[in-house]
Amino acid sequence: MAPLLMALGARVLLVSPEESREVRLEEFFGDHRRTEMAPGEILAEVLVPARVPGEGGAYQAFGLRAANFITAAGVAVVLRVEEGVCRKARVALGAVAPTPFLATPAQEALEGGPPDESRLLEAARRARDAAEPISDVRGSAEHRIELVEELCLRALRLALGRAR
Amino acid sequence: MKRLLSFRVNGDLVQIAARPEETLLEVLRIELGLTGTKEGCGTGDCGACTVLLEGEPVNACLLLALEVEGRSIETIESLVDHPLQRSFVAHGAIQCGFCTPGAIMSAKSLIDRNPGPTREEAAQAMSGNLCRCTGYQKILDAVTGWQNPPEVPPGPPASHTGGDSLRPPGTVVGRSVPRIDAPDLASGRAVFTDDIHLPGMLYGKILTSPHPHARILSIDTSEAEALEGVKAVLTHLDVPDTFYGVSPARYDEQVLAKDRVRYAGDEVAAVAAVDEGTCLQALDLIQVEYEVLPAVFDPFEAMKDGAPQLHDHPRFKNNVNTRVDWSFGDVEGGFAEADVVKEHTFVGNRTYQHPMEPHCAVARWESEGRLTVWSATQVVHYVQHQLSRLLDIPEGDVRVVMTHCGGGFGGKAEVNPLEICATLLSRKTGKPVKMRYTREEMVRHGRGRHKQFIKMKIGARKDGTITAVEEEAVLEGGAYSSFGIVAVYYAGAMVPTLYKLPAFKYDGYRVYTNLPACGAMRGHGCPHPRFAFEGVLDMIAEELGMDPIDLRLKNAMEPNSRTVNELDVGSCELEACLRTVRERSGWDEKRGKLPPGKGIGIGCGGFVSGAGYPIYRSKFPHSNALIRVAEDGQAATLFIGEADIGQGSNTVLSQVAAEAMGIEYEAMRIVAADTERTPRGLGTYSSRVTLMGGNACRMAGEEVRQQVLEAAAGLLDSAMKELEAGGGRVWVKADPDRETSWAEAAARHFSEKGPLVGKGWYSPPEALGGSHKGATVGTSPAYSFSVCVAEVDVDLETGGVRVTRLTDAHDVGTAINPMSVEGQCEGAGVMMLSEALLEDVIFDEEGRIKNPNLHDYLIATSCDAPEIDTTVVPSFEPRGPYGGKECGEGTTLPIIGAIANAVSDAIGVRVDELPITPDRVRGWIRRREEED
Repeated sequence: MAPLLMALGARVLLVSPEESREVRLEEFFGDHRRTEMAPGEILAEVLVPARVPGEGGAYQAFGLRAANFITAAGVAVVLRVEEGVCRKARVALGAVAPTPFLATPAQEALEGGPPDESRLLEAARRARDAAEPISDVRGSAEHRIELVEELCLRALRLALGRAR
Repeated sequence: MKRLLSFRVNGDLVQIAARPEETLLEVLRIELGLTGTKEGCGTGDCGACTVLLEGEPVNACLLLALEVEGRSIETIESLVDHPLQRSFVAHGAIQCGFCTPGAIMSAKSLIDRNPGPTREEAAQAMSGNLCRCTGYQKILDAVTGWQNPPEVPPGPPASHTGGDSLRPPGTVVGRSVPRIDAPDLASGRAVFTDDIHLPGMLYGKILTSPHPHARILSIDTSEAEALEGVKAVLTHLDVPDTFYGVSPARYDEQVLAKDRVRYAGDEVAAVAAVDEGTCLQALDLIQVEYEVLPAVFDPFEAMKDGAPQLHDHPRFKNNVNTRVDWSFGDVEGGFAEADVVKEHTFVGNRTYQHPMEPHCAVARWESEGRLTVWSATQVVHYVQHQLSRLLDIPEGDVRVVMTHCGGGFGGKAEVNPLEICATLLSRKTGKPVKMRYTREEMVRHGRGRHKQFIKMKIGARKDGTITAVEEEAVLEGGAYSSFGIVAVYYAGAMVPTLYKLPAFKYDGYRVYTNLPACGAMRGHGCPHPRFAFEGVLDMIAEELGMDPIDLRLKNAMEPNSRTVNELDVGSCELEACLRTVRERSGWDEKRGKLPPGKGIGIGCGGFVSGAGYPIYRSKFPHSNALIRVAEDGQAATLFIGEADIGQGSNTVLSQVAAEAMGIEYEAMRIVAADTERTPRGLGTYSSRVTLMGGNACRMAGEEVRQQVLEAAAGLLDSAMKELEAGGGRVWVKADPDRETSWAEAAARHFSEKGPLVGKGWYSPPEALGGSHKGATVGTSPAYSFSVCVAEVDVDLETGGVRVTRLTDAHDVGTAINPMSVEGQCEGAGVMMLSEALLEDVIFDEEGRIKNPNLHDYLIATSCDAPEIDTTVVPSFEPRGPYGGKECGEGTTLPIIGAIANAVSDAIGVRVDELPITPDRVRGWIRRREEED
């Protein structure tokens, strides 16, 4: 869920008796099992921006069984394409680092140019390079890195289809 | 501090006081006595505790009771004769029934929203309700077909041709009647051990070792004993100093560790207190001083000189718990005359049974010094036997009762620490004591499948005829023997039963390691050797350019054969099974013609229909039955010591007894698995119950029948030998219009001669098997045969494998209840698919389990279950009751081989390690790409 919301550009509303503040999701997660929430704060709302014309998104989560699994690797993507040029790309990775995060180099490979196959492949490669998974009961780090590239490519192709 | 809570349950307003940390599940089950809702895992993974909160399904174990303040809950008890319940019963969707209440509540929520769900919608909606028995097929049938549950189909035509052993099935045998206990299970009324609540009952918990290998220097229990609510604490000083276990030749376990612990989980102390929470606090207060010792986890390391020794007895030198060294026929000559020899190494996986019901025991001493233990066990007699040994009291003073059991698969086939500690704590406190394992504790106690490392070598001539086989198996056994001695023998003994092998050499090693003990798990010792054998067979087929099914047909076992290791096979329809799956799967149109990523593969398997010899030597009959007919003749009660753990034996045995007596199934009642009320049965293991229990029931039924015929002879003024009985009637064979009701004849017997009872027993034929060491293992009155074709889709980029279809055929002899047999086949298919693709108990460097739960150790859900096409081929086993033999374990044995061969076909690389994870699949594909 978190990578998906992050790709969509979601923010969370943190409320305490003293104040309330909005934090972008990519800044909300600090480290493994740590967030930006201060003592006394509660997470009151998740704010998701409305969809803009030309935008398309996709989420590819890989698990070890067909239902009710904990993701072994997940890639969420949102693209905005205007007149054949990718104006916005958000690529969020899940389960391949201590927290979900945006693969900025992958986004940069897409933004400002035509979303052709070679750019999608380059973005997927960069997403792969950005991943820092560990080996655990859901798979080896090697396999998860491989998964990120493939899932990213699949998500980008789907998102592109939906953005058109 | 408790707080007042008020909410609605099944329409009624309830007001109770609840602790802040108390879950809704605890409140429902303990405070309100609504025990229809089950606790399977306590962590929201299994769905057994599903209830509806404002109509939405939720796991009651994850909700704090105080969260439902002012809200409305529906439990299984709210449904009375609901169409869904009737549908689950009629479709055969209930086996052990432990998951059933939760499953029905999830289904109810679905049909309330969507009365006509598709199979996919139903599978999605039910994917949170894990079931280990059914393979989900019949659950999905029941949910999608809830508005039109099927009628019970009539059985094969009645035949009244006399009492000879070849008598074909009649009015009751061969009918797909619903399970005798299904309505109780569907309503939540059925009592499982954890549903028992006795006045004044205490709870118990066990302290286990955190270290895989350590010496115990001291134990201080004083703080624990001083804790408010604690009633007793036990250490090794308070328990019998007697070794126990499964096989008398390998008794190596002690009730509580005396000086040494051998795995992280070994039992050290036990506590009884007013509730489980207090027990857990008390465990924290017990101070144990350990000296940590070097540990060994790998069986090959463990066998090396200088490795840490787990057991001091010289027979276990180099940690070899059991060594098998067999050679039959001319092995060397066989390989010399082979045109092709293939050898390959295979690695299996350590899997765990994960029955949906955790182990639980309740013990109560009565003032006369007699003990009653209720337990979720497969083997009431062996529990009785061990408790009697440990306590040094007569077996007659120990009553062990299984009420309902929520699955076992071998994990409940031996006495366990809960039964023993509850007994000792109850004796010390004078109060009944309940002890239960959490899901994590079950896994840590272990007794799952041995991980096997197998070298398999097969030689064959150009025409495919197998000339010799050589197998080496190393079984990673864990810290104690458990059933391991049997597992390592089975791993070799059963290999020559499937194909005609002229020569067979087997080297088996069962090795101690500092891990939880492995034991008996469905298919006992055989799934990994079958995986290896079927794999090498495919390698030979490839080398010879022969179709894999043709190769198997060439070598298939034939009826009335003696195997090279001196096992006598009677009925055998392996060839018919092979031909059936070839046709029904479309094999010839698919094999070798599928695109990359798609694969089709075949595997064969088979199993004993009951072990030829008991676990401890005795001359007792293995199965025994009593029948008492009601005084009005309208009903009959069968008393049988065998345990229905979900496989359906109470139903099948009732059918056999009814058939033998000549009455309708509906007149049957049953009392089972109670050592005081039922005659001895060895219990549910080695797929023995249908054949052995069935024969005992048939004999008892025929004794009743004779007495009824005798009484009817007076009523019909005819000679007894001229009469026949069936379907609740007795008639003159030559003049069927001259008849009387069976009940009337039975009532006449009671009036004239007192109680109408019958007794029966069964002992396997004498002197089964050869004279070599270990020749008893693998012997059986009869063998089953199964074949499966698996079809898979492999995602070549991610390595994900999806089994799309299983086409299987089985020789189980006469299917006494075809719907039940089908349920066993489907359940076997999905359980083994799950083991093949998903399951592995994983340890860290300290020998601690990394996935002792159902979210890191995944088992197949309803969404993972493929389409299954099951055929039961015509067969008749002369030694079985009405021709029947086993279908619980043999049905599992072709599956892993079939799936592994299908994946090999899809990716072009030999699959040789389990489970077949995406990670491994990608590794195999990369290796192939590098080799190309």
